[in-house]
Amino acid sequence: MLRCAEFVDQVTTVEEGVAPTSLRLTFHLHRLVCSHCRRYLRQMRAVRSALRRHEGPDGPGDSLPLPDPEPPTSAGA
Amino acid sequence: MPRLLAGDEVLFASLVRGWRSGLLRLAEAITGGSSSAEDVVQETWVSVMRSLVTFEGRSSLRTWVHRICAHVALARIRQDERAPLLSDPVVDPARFDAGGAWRDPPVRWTEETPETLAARREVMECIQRAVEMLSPRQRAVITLRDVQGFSSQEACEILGVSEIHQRVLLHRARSHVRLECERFYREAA
Repeated sequence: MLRCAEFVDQVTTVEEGVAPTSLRLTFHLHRLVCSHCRRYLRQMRAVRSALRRHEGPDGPGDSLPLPDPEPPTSAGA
Repeated sequence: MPRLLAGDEVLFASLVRGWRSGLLRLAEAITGGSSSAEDVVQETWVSVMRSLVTFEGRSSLRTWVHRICAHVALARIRQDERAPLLSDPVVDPARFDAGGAWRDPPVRWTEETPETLAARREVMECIQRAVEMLSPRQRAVITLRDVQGFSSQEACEILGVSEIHQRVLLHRARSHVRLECERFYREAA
């Protein structure tokens, strides 16, 4: 059984989705029985989400930003 | 890419404007918010112009440009914290008993959901201060991953670190920010 001290050490490995199956299972089993570690995980997730909400996504993402549109030309000129 | 290589100044200017805030944020994260962050971004674009012909497209252009920015910024700071401190625990061992169970468990926060946490100005200021206290590489990783939304692989490419190194830096950074929030709520109680 995972201990609380190990739970806090492994939280990022599990949250990043790179934990081996055995660790992932014991992590979630521990979470079911330990309210303190559930709170720890909840707080870690809340901080992470707050950071994202604080700044917002950056500009154009992976796609190239489009150049500014050309100024409209007067029709019929 | 062909347009950039052909010297399309309109497209280049559009990239400089569009990615400015993200590059500035990364440069500030590494240099500690110093005024040289603007210089880092300028030097980044000079380097991009010089190196564009060598871009092989193995990562996205955005990731490649951010990687150059990270290199320029890292070259400006002291390189005294390259290795993560793997041995330092992220939570004080005194908070656990001999069996590894919580002796001093996490305190309850009045805001524990992202919505309520982000809505409280003092907590967001605490988070901001906590990020500023991190080492340059920890700041860079948490800024790239949690603030800007880059993937793990992209953050590794940008900072030139291994996946494990990146994860350790991220773990320590997130744990530190949570701990500072906990201190805030303890003092507020």
